[in-house]
Amino acid sequence: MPASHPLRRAAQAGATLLCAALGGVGAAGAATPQHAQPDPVLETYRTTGDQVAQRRHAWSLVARLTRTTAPGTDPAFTSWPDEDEVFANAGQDGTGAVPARAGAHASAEAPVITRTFYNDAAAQHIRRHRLHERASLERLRSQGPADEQLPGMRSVPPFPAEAIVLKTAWWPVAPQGLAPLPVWDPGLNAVRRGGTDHTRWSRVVALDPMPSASGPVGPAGSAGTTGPARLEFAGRAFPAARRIPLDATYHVVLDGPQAARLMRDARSNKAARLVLGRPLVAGDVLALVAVHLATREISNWIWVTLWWHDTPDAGGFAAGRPAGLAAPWRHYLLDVAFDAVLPTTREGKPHISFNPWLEARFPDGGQGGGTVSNCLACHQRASYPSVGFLPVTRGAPQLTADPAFAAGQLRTHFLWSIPLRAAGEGMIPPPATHRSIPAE
Amino acid sequence: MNKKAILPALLALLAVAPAAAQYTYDPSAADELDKPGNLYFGSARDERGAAVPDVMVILETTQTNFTLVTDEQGRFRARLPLDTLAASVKASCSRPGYVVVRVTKRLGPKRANSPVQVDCLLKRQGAR
Repeated sequence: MPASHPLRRAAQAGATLLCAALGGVGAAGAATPQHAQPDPVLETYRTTGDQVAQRRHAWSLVARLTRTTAPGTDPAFTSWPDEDEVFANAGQDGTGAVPARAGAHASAEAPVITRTFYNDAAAQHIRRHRLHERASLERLRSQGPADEQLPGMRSVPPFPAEAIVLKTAWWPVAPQGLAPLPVWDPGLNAVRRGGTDHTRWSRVVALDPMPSASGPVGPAGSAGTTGPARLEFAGRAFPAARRIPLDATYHVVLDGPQAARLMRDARSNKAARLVLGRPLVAGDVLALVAVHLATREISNWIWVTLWWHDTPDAGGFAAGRPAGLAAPWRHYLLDVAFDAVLPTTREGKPHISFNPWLEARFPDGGQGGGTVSNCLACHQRASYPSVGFLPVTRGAPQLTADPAFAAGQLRTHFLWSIPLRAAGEGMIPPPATHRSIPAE
Repeated sequence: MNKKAILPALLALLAVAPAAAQYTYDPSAADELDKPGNLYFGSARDERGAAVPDVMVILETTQTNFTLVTDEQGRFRARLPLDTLAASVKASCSRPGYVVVRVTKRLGPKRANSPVQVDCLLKRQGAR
């Protein structure tokens, strides 16, 4: 792992915003123009609901973002600043610091480890307009520019077309032994009204950190060291979990400072203890299980979501994957949203685009749960002060019923991280005496 | 001082002390009952009675799961929605390297928000 790796860089105190920008992104196959305006071709993809074209563009984004300059190096996005760098000093601007929520770990959810990365255009926009400071957000509530889409509302200054934000979700794996990794199979998981988090998914695979022991990915049921393994996870036994080499995932090995830093984050801490039965330590591995990718190429942003699967060539979420996409990225399925409504489902309902790792756990608040959600439909509600991203809403903004659009709310241009960070959520506290993570 | 009276009292105190030390609160105290949600609390211990931290405790309802992790004293507590029917909540425990021997769920008095205790007994894998 190079010194620029995000998890290594995140461990460095006082990191600056010196980052390598990916550069502009444009319509599929185009050069990389630094266009200032949303792309009209992509806007056409949105208005026509052309899913084939949307997916083609989404995969091209993934191909560019995951490209490496040499074997063994990390993709470009891994050099971008993360939320702790971009939002450094949030809440310390004289308006009353809001510490990280002490009760964050009191949640009864089963978290995964998440980190969000911002390319240069996105990071600089946040810092230039001081969107990491509550005082700025308060000022913009009354003096900010008129929102481009919703008359009567104010917004933070619109992000440039080159802005990209990437939310990543990671699964902790010990360096020895088989690790259970839940796999989302849409047809096999009964959707429950209260949410369907990964602790109840119907299947797990056995991630094997020793590639020589696993060999190539083969069908379940084969014999020997490549055959199925017996595993337990979340109180359930899986007698024939398919064995998969860790190399089938994009993964990183943690060093001591990285592990220590993640353990100061309540959600990461809980995630590690739930999966490993102990805190993270140097040598542990994080396997990438999910990605949300948002690019500001059109007014609504484009929302691409990826999740890992052991049979990634089957089904509609594999459609359009470019043949040249490098391993291990070929193990990720993809969905995309250009619009909150289009293209509609076969039943004529608003478009669905969700990530099982990040949204399947959302309960049904009346309009359906996380498995009928749409990244864009959620992120169009992002506003300050934060009203929370639940319940799941579907389709166009519900202007009169939704407090996210109430008078006085400042739209944060589709980014939840702005209001949530202003509220002190997700901030990793400085080093302190080790604390346990009680449930309450 | 009546030494004969003191000895039984001391023995009784010693018998109660370990149990009292398990929890730093009284689940039946008024301030606990006044909080929103139905209190679930409990512990994870091994066959020798030692606290087991980092045990995943899942409280499964018909609607969803609630996932907790025990602290360094092997304890957890959380509040579930009041409309959760305590009798139907299925509790499970797990931790890598351990085998679950028994999970005990104790319902409180028949009130909507009476505390529910869940205790997990585990055995280290390979231990006799």
